[in-house]
Amino acid sequence: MEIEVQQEGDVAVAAFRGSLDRLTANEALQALTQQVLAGHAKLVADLSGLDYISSSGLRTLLSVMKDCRAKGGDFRLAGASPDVGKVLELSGFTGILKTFPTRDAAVQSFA
Amino acid sequence: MPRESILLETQATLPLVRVLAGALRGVLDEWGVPESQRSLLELALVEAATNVARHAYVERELGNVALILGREAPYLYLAVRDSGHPFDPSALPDLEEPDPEDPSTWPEGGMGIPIMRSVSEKLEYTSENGFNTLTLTVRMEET
Repeated sequence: MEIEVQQEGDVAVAAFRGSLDRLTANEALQALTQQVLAGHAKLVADLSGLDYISSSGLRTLLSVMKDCRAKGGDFRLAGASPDVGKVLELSGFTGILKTFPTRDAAVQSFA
Repeated sequence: MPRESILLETQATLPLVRVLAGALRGVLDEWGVPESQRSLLELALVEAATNVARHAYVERELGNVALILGREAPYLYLAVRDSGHPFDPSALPDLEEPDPEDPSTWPEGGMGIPIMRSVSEKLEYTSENGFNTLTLTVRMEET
């Protein structure tokens, strides 16, 4: 799995590529926590390149969301494929994890 | 249609859980299971087999995880078997509804169970003769 982070104004966008599961969850958590600790608590996860997510990945997303909220920011998800979107829905956390159809829409939601 | 079954078995490690999931995908593809259902069943397997890889053989010699797949229209049977410590995920209560505004209510784990429950009509667990088996009964979607 790869994560590429870009800054768009005061929002950091982390683009995921590959699978977010038990094998890659810690790596993702570290990369995103680094962003939050560096003061980028307004964070978007661009999931358009993510082809798979398991419950370990969901746990990572919730953990990052907690960190962002604790720093006065938020963590928003964008561009999830139908498969990934279905997992978010099945987990019952769509009320917590705010999702947007595109990266741009998620970034603009912070304005 | 007579019931068909396939047994796939490997060491219970996380990298090999991925391999098992890929093998499951191939079988379901061969059986004509629609793409949308294939990916959810693959996820259910990963959840169950990851539990085995992480917990079943703690403080004992690494053992195997087996996937036993069966079909008898209109049902698919997906069983995950190990010979480690018994652990019955089907007995766990549903997660409490989290409050979106209160992170202290957000779950730290146990998220795989609702996923397995939601993709199956029945989730059964047995532990006998040294083997633990979690079986998901799934109604096959029409293509």
